This record gives sequence, C-alpha cells and structure tokens, in this order.
Amino acid sequence: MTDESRNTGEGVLMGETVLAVDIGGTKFAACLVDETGAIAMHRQVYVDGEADEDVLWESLVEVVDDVRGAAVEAGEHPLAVGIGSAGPIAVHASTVSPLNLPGWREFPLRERMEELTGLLVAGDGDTKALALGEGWLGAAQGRPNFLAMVVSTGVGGGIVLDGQLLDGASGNAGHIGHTVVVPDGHPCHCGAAGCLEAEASGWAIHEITGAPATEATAVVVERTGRLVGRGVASVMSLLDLDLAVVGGSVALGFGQPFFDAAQAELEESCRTLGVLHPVIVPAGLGDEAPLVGAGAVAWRALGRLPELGG
Amino acid sequence: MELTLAVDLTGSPNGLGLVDRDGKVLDSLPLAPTEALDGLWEELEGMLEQVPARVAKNGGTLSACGVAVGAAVGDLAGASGRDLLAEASRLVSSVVEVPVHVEDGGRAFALAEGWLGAAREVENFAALTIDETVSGGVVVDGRLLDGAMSQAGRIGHWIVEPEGRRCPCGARGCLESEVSVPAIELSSGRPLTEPSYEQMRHVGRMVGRAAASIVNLLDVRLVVCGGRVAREYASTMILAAQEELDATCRISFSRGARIVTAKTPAPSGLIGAAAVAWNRTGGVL
Repeated sequence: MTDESRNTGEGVLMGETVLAVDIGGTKFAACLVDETGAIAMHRQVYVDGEADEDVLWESLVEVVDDVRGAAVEAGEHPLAVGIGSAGPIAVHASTVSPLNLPGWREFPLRERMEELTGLLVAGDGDTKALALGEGWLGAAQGRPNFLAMVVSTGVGGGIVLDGQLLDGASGNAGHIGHTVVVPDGHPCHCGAAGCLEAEASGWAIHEITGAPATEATAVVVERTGRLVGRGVASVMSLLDLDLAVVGGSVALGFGQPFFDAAQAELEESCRTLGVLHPVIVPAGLGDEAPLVGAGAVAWRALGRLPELGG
Repeated sequence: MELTLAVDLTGSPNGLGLVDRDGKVLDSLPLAPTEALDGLWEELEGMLEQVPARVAKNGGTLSACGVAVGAAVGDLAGASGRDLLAEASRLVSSVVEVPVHVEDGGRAFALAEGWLGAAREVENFAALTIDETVSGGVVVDGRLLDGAMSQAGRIGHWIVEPEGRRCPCGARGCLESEVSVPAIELSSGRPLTEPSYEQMRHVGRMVGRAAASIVNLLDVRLVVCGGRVAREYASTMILAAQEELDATCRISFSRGARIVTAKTPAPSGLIGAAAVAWNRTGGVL
C-alpha cells in the first residue's frame, strides 16, 4: 500500500483499510474504512425484524461478501473487521442480542464473522463505536474527555475519559439510558422506573404522549431536552468532563429547541466543574457515524486508532 | 525497604505516617486539630522536618509521598479543592525530596478500598465517603478515572432529588444536599448520632439511588460506602441502599450489583494517602 490516495471508483482511500460492519435495529451496513476515516464501497440491506437467526445471518453475509468482492476487484485487502452492534452485547460482541432483532439472541457474531472472513474481528456496542468515531473525526475530535450518546428509539452512550474509551466489567460502560432522572417516574422496560430511556427516548415519548416523537409538541421537546440535560449533568459532575455530543433520530429531529433546553438544564444542574463550562452539542458525523465508528473499533483493536484528544 | 510518606489531611484525624508497600503503617505522627489553616500548614511543616530521621530509624528509604486532602481542610482554607491540592503539594515538596502526589480525600478513599479494603482485586467499582461533604472515586478497567481536571468521582453531585434542596455547589437535589452530615442535621434538627430509623433508611435510599444509576452507567458491579455517616448508620442504611440497587439495577449486566461498607483497616486515612503515592509508583489496583 502506498500513502497516496487512490480512487476505487466507489470512494477515495488512502493507506490500509478495515472492513466496517454496522448492525442496526432495522438494517445492516458494511464498507471499507481507511486510516483517515474515509469510507468506500458502502453497502446496506434493510432487515425484517421478525426474521429468524439464519435469515438474519444470510442478509449480513450478503452485504459483507458484496463489500469483500468489490474490495478484491479494486485490489483492497482489509486488515480486520470492526463491528458496531445494537445492544445488548456480550464482551467485544462475542455474542449480540439486538433488542429489535429477536431472531438473534446471544448470536455468536464474532466467531461467525471470523469464520466468514478469516480476519481478526473486533466488536463493540454501537454507542461505544459512536463515541470512538465522534472522538476520532466528529464533534469531540481532539477531546480526551467526553460523553457521546444517542437519543432515538432507545437511549445509550459511550464515554471517553483520559483519552480512553471506558469498557467496564462486561463491556457495557457508558449506558446512560438506565440512569434515573425522574425518581419514581415512568416504568422502564428494564424493570426499574424513571430511567432516562423511560422518560426521554422515542419509545418513551410514544408511551407517555400517545404520539410518536415526530409529532411531539414544543412542551414535549422542552421536557425531553431538560431530562437529557439532567442526566448529562450528573455524569459530568461525576466524571469531571465538560462535553456531551448527542446523536440519534429524536435528538437530531427535535433540533435546536431540544439542545437549548438540555444546555439550560445542564448549566443549572452541573455546577462543579470550576473553570470548565459544560456543553452539549449535536453529534458531528451524521449518517456515516455508525460505519466510521465500526471502523474505529477495528483500528482500536489493531492499536492504530490515533490517541483520542492527543 | 521502600517507604512512602503518607500525609492525611482529610480530618479523619489529620496525621503523617510511614507506610510500606504492603500497607503496613510503621510510624505515625498525629497532627493536632487546628482552627486556622496557617496553623495547620506550620504544624505540618514542623512535622515534615522530622521525617528523614524517622525514615532512618525504621531502616527504610523514602520513595514517594502521598497526600490526601479532605473538604474540612478546604473549608478552613476557604479555597477551592484544586487550589488546596496545589498548596499542599507545594508545601510538602519544599521539605521532602521525593515525588509528591496529591489527591482529593474521596479519590484516596477509593484507592485505599481497592488496595486493602472492600474492593480488593476488583477492576470496576465506585466508592463514596459521606462526611461533611460527599466525595468519592471511580475505578473502571482497573484504573482510577481522572477526568478533565483530575477530579472524577464526585458522587456527591449526582442528582437524586430533582427540585430538591439547594446544594452548596448551586445545583438542586445533589446527593450531598441530602445525606452529608450538615444536610442530615439541618433537615432532622437532631445530631447525626441521634437518628430516627426512618432517617437512616432515607439516607440509604438516596445513596442507593445514586449508586444504582452509576452501576448502570459505568458497568461496575460494586459500590463501597464509607465515612462517618456510613459508620453511624451502619447496616440499616446499607440495607436500604441495597434495596434501591435491587430495584434499579435491572439490566443484564447490572443485576446483582452490591453496595457494601468500607473495609480499609485503620488508620484508613493514612492508608488512603499511601495508596495515592503507591498508585503512581507501581500501582495498588
């Protein structure tokens, strides 16, 4: 490989590449990601939520083989596979059980992907992958301490502290969706009450208001922003960090009024940072975020992800 | 034999000690409680001058110094925690010719619990200590998290009662504004040592509420609770906190998380200060 950029016909790449795989709740996607975060040969397929284990795997094989075929044709040889998967997952995606895909329960994704590709396979939760991607090339670029989170159907997140992505005992650190923001609040599907996910997710908004988040009133947008701000304030005080980047269809769909409400609550409720100023902003990578994040998971496993905030 | 000079300024009470790699305290000098900070600094300076002779007497060599600074000293100084850490570091460095490492008392407490206490050999846990303030530290993936200004672990400012009491920090409903010694005495109108059963349960529920959220957030399965309030309210408080964890830690990875009382042997303040030094030179976790 040379250090010069090359046009593959489906995106410009430079240096070596990894194969990135995004396991979402409604679609599977794959592409090549180079060491600068550029992507090429993007393929995706929508999956049927009711599909069984084998059908889901066949859909994924089709997408991955399609990218591998295109890669071979273009003379590209990815070094490893990086997976970002909807959760819950076991450590490093050894098994995945995406909530919206009941056909996969403790599905041994990493092993199957190793058999399919013969490559090193690294996996992580989609929100931890998002954190890596946002820290590498997105709204948290150059920052060693931040929270990255998603407010969509559910609420999740990943945390980078001291330049390191936090893993935790089972690889699930960063899961802000089940911190309690309303004591004795609405019941959460986890079994607790008042979790951020039970108060401010797309699912919760539908449960509470009877209408989908896309039809939320200004009052609901404000309340959702406030509650996200409250959860983030506690995390910032606890971990001594001053930046939260937020993606996901609900947060980004609500837009500025949501972020204004979250910022206002954050300033009222996080007073411990001294000279630092707490800030909550939209995620920066947009539609490419999941695949860039999955690529970052692979580069991290190879020890070649640039130091976050370095 | 390598020794560390441990300087405990957490008010538990204040003191100096020589501590070996295994956490054995070989020598200690109490610092008298001091009304004014200048007095405390002067007394500390005098004590530090005795250190070389004490090290020689114990047949060791001094390899590092760890200082743990608590909120009580901060109140005397009228200084922010960070200024105080810098001042303590400056003073000790001017007398002792080894690397000096200074930490907030709550972070030192967490290190001590991971080294010789209830979180020995546990790679992921949170620890909090409830006294005049509520402070703590968080260990994830086997290291004490630092954060932007090396102050990570402020469990006392987790919001447990939105719209609740005003906290000294300016926010409302922080854990500290519900369960610190002054908060308990103010709300109950009674001294800490004369609690009602319901009050002990309330403190436990609030601690458990913050702890449960932190367990879910950070994928830690153990929370260690220490300090005066935990000692006074003992198992009544811890059981109420555990009930809260049982009700709120319900995701696959957090189910079964435990909250326990601190177990670092006495003098735990000196061991915490020593842990600060050893953590930077070889590690205690």
